[in-house]
Amino acid sequence: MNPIETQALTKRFGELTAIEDISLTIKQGELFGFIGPNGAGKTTTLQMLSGQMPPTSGTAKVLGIDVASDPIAVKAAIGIVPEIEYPPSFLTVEEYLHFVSSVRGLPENGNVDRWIEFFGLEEKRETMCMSLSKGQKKKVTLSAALLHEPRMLFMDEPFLDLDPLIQRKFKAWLLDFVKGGGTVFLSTHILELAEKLCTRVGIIDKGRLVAVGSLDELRKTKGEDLEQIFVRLVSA
Amino acid sequence: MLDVKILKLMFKEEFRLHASFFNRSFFPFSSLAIILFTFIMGASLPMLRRVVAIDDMLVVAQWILLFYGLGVGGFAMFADRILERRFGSVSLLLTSSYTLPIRFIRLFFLFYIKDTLYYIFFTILPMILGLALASLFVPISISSLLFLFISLTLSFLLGISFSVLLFAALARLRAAGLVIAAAIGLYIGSSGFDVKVFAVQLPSLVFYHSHSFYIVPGVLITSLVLGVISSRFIKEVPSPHERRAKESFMKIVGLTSRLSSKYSPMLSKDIIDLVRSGIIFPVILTFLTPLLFLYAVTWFVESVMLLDVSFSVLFYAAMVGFLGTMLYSWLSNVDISECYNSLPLSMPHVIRTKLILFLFFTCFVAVPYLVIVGYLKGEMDLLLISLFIMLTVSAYVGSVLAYLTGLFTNSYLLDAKILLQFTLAVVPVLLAETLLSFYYQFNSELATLYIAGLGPILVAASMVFLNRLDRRWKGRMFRIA
Repeated sequence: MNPIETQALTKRFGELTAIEDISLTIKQGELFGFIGPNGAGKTTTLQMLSGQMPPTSGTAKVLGIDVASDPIAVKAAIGIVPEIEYPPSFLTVEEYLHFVSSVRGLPENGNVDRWIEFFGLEEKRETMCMSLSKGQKKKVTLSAALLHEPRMLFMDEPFLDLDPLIQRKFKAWLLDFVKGGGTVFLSTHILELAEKLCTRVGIIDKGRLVAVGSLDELRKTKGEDLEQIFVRLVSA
Repeated sequence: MLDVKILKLMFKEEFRLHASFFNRSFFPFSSLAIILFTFIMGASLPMLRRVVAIDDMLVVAQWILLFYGLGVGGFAMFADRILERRFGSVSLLLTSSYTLPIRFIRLFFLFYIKDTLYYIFFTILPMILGLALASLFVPISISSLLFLFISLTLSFLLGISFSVLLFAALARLRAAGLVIAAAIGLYIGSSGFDVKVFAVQLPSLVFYHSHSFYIVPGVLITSLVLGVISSRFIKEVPSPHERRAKESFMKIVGLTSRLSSKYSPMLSKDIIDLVRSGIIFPVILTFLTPLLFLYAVTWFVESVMLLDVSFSVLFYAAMVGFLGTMLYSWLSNVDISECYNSLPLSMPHVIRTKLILFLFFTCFVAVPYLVIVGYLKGEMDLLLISLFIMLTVSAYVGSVLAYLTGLFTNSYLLDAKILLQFTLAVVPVLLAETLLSFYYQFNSELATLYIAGLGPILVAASMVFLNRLDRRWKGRMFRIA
């Protein structure tokens, strides 16, 4: 069973077809990069696959669970890092993570300390989320997604607003995670990052998947980098 | 010139904020509803006159506007926290002094003027427009409408300026402010203050009757002076400081899990959020103010107008259930729910949590209210029945509202179809309970029997609506409506 399998996945908003006929398979242990221009449908695809938004037609299974029929089970099994998320303003960092733990049915204080320490939030433990910087909020969001140690992660621009030290640390963690059998669906604009980290990439443009493969498979000429591949495929 | 520019921008900002809280396409509906309401009232004036004297209607109208002003002022003082809790991060023109070379006091004063003008434009003007339309069919003179517009505006100004001053002073003086407010209240209460006399001596009412134009600048200057004093009470915007707190979540989970382990995490999160943000005060005030106002109106009808209508505590119990609508609307709308999308939480689960909170707050406010009303009316023997009515009507109205509007009450209730469904589901029940509350005086045994019979029907209907929540709201994304 592959962690992600979709067949003709489509999303329409009224007259607008945001995502059209996406068929995709992602294997266990892959760090899959999902790239595309603004408004191409990256976030919509990620939201459908992670059970946040029902597809209009087609099917998608994540960890063997149908996202349309049981989105809550999907969310329980995976970790989601949205591009922008505001944790409740008047809860402290620690309280919010306890809240997420409770919702996920984890033992009291299960992994909270571990992730607070990992992201260097010890001093912000008792700070209300409204007083956090963007980067600190992102760290809280990442911690919340990792608390239950999921085997599959959906991340939308997870490195945005993080300081270089934490970026480096988290990149290393991600590589270990996939090496250990975890799977990542990473939506990003940062092509250098996708090029360095991802085992395969999918390029989406105007709601259609225009290419999927490893960098080698996508290269037309020797030495072509991801940016050149992206420009060639999307401009075409 | 700069002030006028800022004022215009603040006006736009206020309009867009309101539109974001409600449904943009139905937003003008509220002003239209006011026009329609006052048109109907105006058109039925010849009939109403036979029952209620025009002067009495005027007193009620002026006091409604005064209370409205008090409410608007109170909400304005909580606006930043309401927005923070709803949207997570909001930047208003009011906070421009963080980064621009302009004093906060000046911005606050402009904010106060903007709020006043905004509500005059979108509330009082539509009221007068409705009456003006009615004047095409019934004899209402245009000059009386002009005087009414000015006098209602004056009442609103008095309300908003006193409210802003009170909240600004309380925010600065904290406990000392509460003590001073309580002392003033006690002094007024013990000094032989006659409410009946005071009720008809509002400056705006005096202006309407006497046409003494000197009252207008008097009230305007008072309102401006109070605005200036209030702005002095408000601290210059401090540099954004870090707000910290000790861990409370797990402690509250320990308490709420005794009530329901399933809903405990959401309940605990909401309780902390409401208390720490201070939004608990406007939430309770939103419910309490109409309850007090209801009592004031019925008192006025019975004691001042001397109409032979006996409003028993049973009547208040039925009304409490209906007025809780606003409470549910607050609890469901003022929450940053987008973060639930990444958690294994369904919308029906969150809606049910809001309903539990709604019932909790309803009881928290309504039980003491009914006990006091029962005591004041010498009807303590009816307390148990009234609590039964309050609980069953609240549960029913809350369930209908939750089923029809979910977490988007403000915007969905402005949808004509949903408003009609809500009205059809709730009004007959309210009407039945109200009629039974009056019928009780004539045949208490039979009325009790009917009330006891209606209660289980309402509970059963509530269960049906609750069971259907999943079908209606499952799979919906958490978002700003």
